[in-house]
Amino acid sequence: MKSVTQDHAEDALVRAAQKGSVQAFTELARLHQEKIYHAVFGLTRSHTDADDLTQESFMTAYRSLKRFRRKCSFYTWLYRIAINLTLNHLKRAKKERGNKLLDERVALAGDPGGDVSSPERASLNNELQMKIRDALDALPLAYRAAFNLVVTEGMTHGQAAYILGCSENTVSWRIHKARKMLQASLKPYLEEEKIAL
Amino acid sequence: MRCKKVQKWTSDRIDGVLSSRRERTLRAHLESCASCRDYSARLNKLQAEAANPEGPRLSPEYWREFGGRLERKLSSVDKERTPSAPLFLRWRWGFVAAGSVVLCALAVRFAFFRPQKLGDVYPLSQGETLARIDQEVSTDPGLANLFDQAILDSIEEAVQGKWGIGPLELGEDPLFLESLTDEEIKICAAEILKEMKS
Repeated sequence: MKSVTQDHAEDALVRAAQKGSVQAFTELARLHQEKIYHAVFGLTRSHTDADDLTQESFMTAYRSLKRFRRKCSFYTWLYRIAINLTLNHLKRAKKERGNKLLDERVALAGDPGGDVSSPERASLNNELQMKIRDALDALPLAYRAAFNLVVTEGMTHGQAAYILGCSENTVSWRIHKARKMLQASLKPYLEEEKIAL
Repeated sequence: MRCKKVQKWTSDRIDGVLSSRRERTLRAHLESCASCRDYSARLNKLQAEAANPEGPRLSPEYWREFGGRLERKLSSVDKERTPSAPLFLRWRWGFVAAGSVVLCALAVRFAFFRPQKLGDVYPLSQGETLARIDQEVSTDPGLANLFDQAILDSIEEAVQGKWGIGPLELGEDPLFLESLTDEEIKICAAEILKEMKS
C-alpha cells in the first residue's frame, strides 16, 4: 500500500515528466518497472517478450504522457498501456506463430536475464504450480488477462475493468469462467492436494 | 437454489465483491450441497496457488541495465522531437491572429477609404431640395431658364467626362429618373440641346 507521501512524490514526478523531464520519467519507470515486467511476464511467459514489452510500455507512456489527465493513478494508467500492448502482441503472435509461445516458455529456467534462485526453482518445479500455469496458458486470452489482473496482481474488479476497457460485470464473469475452466482441468490435482492435506 | 449461480457467487466471494445478503444465502446452500462445497474448496485451493506471483527474480544488475537502455531510448525520442511551433503559429492562436488581422484591415478600410456618397459629388440632393427648387423655378421664369441651362451644361460636361471622375453613369444622376437608361438620357440630352439651339 502506498503512503500519501509516496503519492505526492509520484505526482510531482509525473508533473515534471509532463514538462519534459527525462530524469523524472526515468525515476517513475524505476519505481514501476518490476511490477510492470511481472504483469507482462505473467501473460507472455517469456523473458525476452516481457523485457521488450516493458520497454515499449514505458516508451509509449512517455510519448503519450501529455494525454495523462490523472483520472487514475499513474501506475494504473501505465498498467493499462502495458496490458494492452501485451494483449495486442499475444494476438499478433498467436496469428503469426501459432503455439510457438508455449515452446519459448520452456526456456524460462535457463534465461540469461533471469537469476532464478533456488526457492523460485522449487516453486516452478512444484507440480501443481506448473499445471496451473499450463491450464492458464490454455485459457482464452480475455479470461487469462482478467484472471491474471485480479488473482495474480490482486487488483479490484474496477481496476481490471479500467485496464481491460470493459465493465466490472464482464470482468466478474470472465474470472468466474476462468476459474470454472481451471478447476475443471485441474480437478484431479486440486482434489489430490485436498486429500493430502 | 441453482448450483450454477452458487459457482458464480463463490467466485465473487473470493474476490470480495459478494454482497452480505448473497453471502448468507451462499453459506446456507454450501451447508446443504456437497458438490458446491467441493467446488468452493477447489476454487480456494486454486486461488491460494495462483495468487502467488511467479516469475524469474531478476538481478539488480539487470534492472540497472534495463534503466540505462530505457534512458537512452528516451533521450533519442527527445532529440527526434521537432521543436514545437511558435505560439502565434499554433492553430488556435493562428485563428485568433487571422481574425484580428481581418478585423484591423476592415477597420482601416472603413476609417480612411470610405466610398464617396452621392451627396459628396452632387451639391443638390434629391427629395426636399428638388421640391424647393421646383417651387422657386415655377414662380420665376428667368430662374427657370437659367436652371435649365445649368442642367444642360452639367449633362454635357458629364457626358464628355469633364468632371474628372470618369465617364458618368447618367442613370445614377439624382436629377433624372432612375428608371432611364444611359441611352435614353443621352437621347433626352440631345433633344434638349436641339431645342435650346433652335
